[in-house]
Amino acid sequence: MEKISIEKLKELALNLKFDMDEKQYQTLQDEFDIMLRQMEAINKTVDTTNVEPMSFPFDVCFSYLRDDEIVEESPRDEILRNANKVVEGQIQIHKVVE
Amino acid sequence: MNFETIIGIEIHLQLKTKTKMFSPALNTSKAAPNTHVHPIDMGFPGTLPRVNKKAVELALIACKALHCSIDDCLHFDRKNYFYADLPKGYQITQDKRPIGRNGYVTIEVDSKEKNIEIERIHMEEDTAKQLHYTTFTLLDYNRCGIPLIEIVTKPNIRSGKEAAAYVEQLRNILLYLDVSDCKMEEGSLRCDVNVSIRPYGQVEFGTKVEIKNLNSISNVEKAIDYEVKRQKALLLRGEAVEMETRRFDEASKTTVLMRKKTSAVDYKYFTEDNIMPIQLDKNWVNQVISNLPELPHEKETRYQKEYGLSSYDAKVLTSNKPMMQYFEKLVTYYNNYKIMTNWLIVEVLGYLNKNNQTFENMKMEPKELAIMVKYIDEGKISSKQAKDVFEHLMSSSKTVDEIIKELNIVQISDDTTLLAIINEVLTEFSSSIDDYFAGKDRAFGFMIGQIMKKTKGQANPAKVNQLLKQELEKLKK
Repeated sequence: MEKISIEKLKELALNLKFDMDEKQYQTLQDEFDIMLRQMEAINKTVDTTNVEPMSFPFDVCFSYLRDDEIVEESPRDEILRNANKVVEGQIQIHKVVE
Repeated sequence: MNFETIIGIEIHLQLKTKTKMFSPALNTSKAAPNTHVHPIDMGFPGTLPRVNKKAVELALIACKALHCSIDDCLHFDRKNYFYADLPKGYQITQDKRPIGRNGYVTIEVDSKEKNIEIERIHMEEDTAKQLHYTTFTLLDYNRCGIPLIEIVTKPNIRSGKEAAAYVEQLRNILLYLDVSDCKMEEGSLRCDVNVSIRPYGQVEFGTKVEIKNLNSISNVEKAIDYEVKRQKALLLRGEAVEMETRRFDEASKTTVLMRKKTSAVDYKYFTEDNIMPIQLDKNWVNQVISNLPELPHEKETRYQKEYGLSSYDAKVLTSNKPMMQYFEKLVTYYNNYKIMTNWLIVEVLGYLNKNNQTFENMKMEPKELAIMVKYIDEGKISSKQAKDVFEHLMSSSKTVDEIIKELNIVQISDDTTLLAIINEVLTEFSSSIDDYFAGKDRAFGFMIGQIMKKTKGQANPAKVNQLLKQELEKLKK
């Protein structure tokens, strides 16, 4: 299994728009190391060929769909309360496109 | 060098639901900014998405109408990206298991049919609307969370014309089924086109360019035609086509560079763990897709077969839903389909256009139009008289019989009465008989005119024609 390098972590952090100090990167890398070693150990003892990966802890389906009837909304002031700047009922942000 | 054009189209379609895809906020494009927003749309902590049943229903209808196989277990994924138009930081979409796969749309270009293959249809949520000004951007979250389906074709479209025909056919079908408003100019149907070219015979695809901002069907064709020309010129100059996104510029009718695609964006798709897989009830799915009405192009074929209409007439009739519904009532009353269709396409459409009316508020009942055509066929009224009757039918709510009585319209078709008048005219204008035998065609018309005058235009013209000829033949002997 691929080893997680500090460079890889920095690249991912950039993609996900956050940054950490060197010590935190080191800690994270150590944690990944341990995890990957544990995975390797599992791989040696459990055969996962032909086992479908699971995204949920239980292999169950739901059938609930919401009826397209009742409208519930929040007042605009409430919705915009977290915004730094509001202009004419709209959130103003820095322009990031050319 | 000859090149082959390869086109694939992605269409985003806003579904006609009352509320949003995952939240109970109103689905509307016409409201003051940020007035139809639910905390779910904003991705506030503690909120959980709930799938809209109607949106699923409309997606199923689209799948069925576009001949897709349906996955009746819904799975959603997250498409992760950091941008202000989706405050959650990801879009809920269907990546691994789209609701529909492997469908097609039949188009007709230059009288040839072709199936445009559809790779997938998946459900997702729309993003917020951004208004870009010179130095800042304003955000309106009303659009955020509106239900969408994305319809993706395989790269088997070969020209701008085919692309335009595909978008048009798709729009006709989905508009007819009430799946969406399909308004390109308002953004409820948005079309992105991928275009590449390759020398004929080459197996690998060329570098593709994506074109956005196509707000009409004719622009789809224009943009592709321009883009193909641009790429050909590049290749012929020995330059490479670069992977980039361009937009269509209405004013110059060209495509303009928006951004280079230096590296493929990694959206880090993974399962949306806030929505467990949803197994749709099979009976419900069947009920939704089996109640699909006959589609316009299916009707077009049937009209030609069943009613003997020309392909042009069938196309005109099916291009307008209210007219088609009117026609379907019409044929239940009388069987001269061809003539009734002519009245609809020529007279009725002409009248409606001239008077700024529509089929929806038209006064003439289908039954009355059918009766009128029947009366013409039976010789009860002449075509000329029918035009008067028609004007009255369109402007009042009266029946054909009432109008005929009111206008005192009678058509004389009775042989004895007509013969008496014909002989009167022949005696009065005996010189015309000589002219007629001398080969002057005008003389015949003159005598007809005199007969019509004597009957105040009420004589059955076909009958008069026949009887006058018969009488003249007698005189010849």
